[in-house]
Amino acid sequence: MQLNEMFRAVNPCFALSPASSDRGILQYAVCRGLLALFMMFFAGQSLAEGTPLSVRYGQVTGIEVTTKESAMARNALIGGAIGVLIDDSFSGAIGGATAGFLVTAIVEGDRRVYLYSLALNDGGVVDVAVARPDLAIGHCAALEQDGSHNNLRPVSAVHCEKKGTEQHEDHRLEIAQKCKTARDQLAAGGSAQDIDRALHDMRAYCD
Amino acid sequence: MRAYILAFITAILLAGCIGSTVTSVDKNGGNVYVLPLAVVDRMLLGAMSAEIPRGELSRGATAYPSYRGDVTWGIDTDTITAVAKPAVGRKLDGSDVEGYVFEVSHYGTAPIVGSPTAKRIHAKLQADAELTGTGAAFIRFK
Repeated sequence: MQLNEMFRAVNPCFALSPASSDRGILQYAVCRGLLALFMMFFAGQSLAEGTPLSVRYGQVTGIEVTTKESAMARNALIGGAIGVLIDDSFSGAIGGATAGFLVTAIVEGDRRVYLYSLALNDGGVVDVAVARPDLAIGHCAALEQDGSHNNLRPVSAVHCEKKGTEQHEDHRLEIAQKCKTARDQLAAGGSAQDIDRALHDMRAYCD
Repeated sequence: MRAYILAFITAILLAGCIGSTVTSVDKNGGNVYVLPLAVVDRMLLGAMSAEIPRGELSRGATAYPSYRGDVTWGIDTDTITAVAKPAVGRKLDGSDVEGYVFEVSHYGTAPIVGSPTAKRIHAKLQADAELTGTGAAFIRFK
């Protein structure tokens, strides 16, 4: 294949570029502009999809049973039942205004929300509102975050007693990544087999 | 005489039919789950088949995903129906989204097994739905 033919193959606007005509040049310019916008859009998409996943550990230092509305009004952590539905822009706004507060998986039908205060290993403190009632003061918990998803789950006290080994960190990160992959698959749909596998993985890795 | 007895028994059985619905939304709110149709369909099938053999399940007659099956207690039977009702929810940023609300109902003459079965199926559906992290505040059914 000649170089010229290769260029035509990868540049769909090339067909509109008869240099001899002003109209053709204009069409070519518009086409290139649209192509650039198209590429920027997809580049942005892939960047958004690549939001890094983080896992932090902390000891539960306080528990309060409250309502989602109360937690939000007190600027206390808003996580999300709503997890995936928090837009990036909105998530950023919350992050700025209520640093350290996340709201995750709130069962509004129940109306009860468990607001856990976590003393993180890195010295920070974060309040997380979730529906799960199975954490107690002194328990060690993992706070998994990736973009708009937040997950809080009990883990071995080893993670809070001292800085976890690299192997432990990798293990938890791998689980969190599998949880995210399963959720992404469910959001996208797919074949019955894919969905069943994703549901199975979600139960295994997200709970 | 036999017809009278049959009618009498039928009347008693019909009078004994009761039912109820387990739902996660009410006047105080609840969650709508923003998931693809195929996913909620598989969730319903999975939750129902955990209690009732898959071969005994049939699709409901609704326009939205639903499955039904029977549970028995002696000669009595309760029909369990699990549905994913289309609904509108509201995200934290105030915008509206479309999703589904899971409901499980039972109706028949064996509420002693139908009621707890419906509750278990709904609990499983609700637990799965919460794990997806796609909940939005319920506004109304579509």
